Amino acid sequence: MQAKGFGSTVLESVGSAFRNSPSSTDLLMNSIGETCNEFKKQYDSCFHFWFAEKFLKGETNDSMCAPLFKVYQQCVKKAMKDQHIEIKDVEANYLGTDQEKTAPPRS
Amino acid sequence: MVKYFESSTVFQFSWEQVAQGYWHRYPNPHSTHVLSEDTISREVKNNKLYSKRLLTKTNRVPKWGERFISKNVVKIVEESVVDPKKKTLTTYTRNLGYAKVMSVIEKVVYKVSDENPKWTVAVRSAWIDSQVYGFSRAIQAFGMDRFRKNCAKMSGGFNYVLAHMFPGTTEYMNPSLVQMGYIDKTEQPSIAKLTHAAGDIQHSFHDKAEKMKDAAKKATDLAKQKAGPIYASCQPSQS
Repeated sequence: MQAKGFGSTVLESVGSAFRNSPSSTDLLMNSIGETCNEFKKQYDSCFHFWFAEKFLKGETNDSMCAPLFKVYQQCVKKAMKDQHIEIKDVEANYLGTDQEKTAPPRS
Repeated sequence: MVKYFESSTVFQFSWEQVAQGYWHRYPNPHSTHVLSEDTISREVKNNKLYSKRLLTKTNRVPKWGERFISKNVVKIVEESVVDPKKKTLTTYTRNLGYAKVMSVIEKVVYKVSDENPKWTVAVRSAWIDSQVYGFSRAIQAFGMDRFRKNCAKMSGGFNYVLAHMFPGTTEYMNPSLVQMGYIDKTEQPSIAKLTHAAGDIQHSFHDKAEKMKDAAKKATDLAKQKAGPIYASCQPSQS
């Protein structure tokens, strides 16, 4: 983006940055597997809706996006395998386990 | 030897907005180094949402290393838990590549701000470790220096996305967003910066040991100056 300045030009810069960008729903990250992009897009938009409109409002049933997730997963797992990414390394859990790092005591 | 860093950032958005925005964080104008983002697993357990994502990012290569580089993508695994009752989003990221040269673990807890219930505070902790004998001190100092320099800028891309998603909230806070540097195009998330550093170092081992020694000496000097945990503040007013 071109926005750079400070002072009075800043608000204009912010405005033009927004005008020049497609809306946030058009901007999507790629999947690691090129062939998975469409599956990812469909799953992500389902998830974003579910997260904001269901989960954050107390609904914990996540079956809504499950079929889309399954298809997307199959594609991603294959892409990871093709790119020699160790699925075991990725699947290891740290957060909430004994292996999670803890902050040293403040002295 | 593990080096520990801590910082906190205030986002002038509600916790619900930040939690939603988190999943839209990429792409943003500051994240051109992020190549891909995939959800590897996701489930609801005890009313909390557990997710695991795999991100790939480009690795910045130093000029003198360009002709030796074959592998220039770093992979990052991000675990997260969203607790909608307690209103916490906790993320835990680690790099897959270069882990022996330098491992960077970053944990961020997003929770409702104590000063203003309409705001969210992100408490960030980072652990940097290296198993390379003789270099670990230098590498950690290098990582620490980058972490400190980028402290105030780290949230820029995320603020951009939040402002984009919730323009109504932004109307009341434009000056602060400017102070936070969210239109600064140079920022990158700290973990990317640090894994870049790991990449630089790995490449230098292959072919340019001498230059590395130089860098190591400088970094060691830095480390001597800055021993002990770092508690950096990322308050917008101090940027």
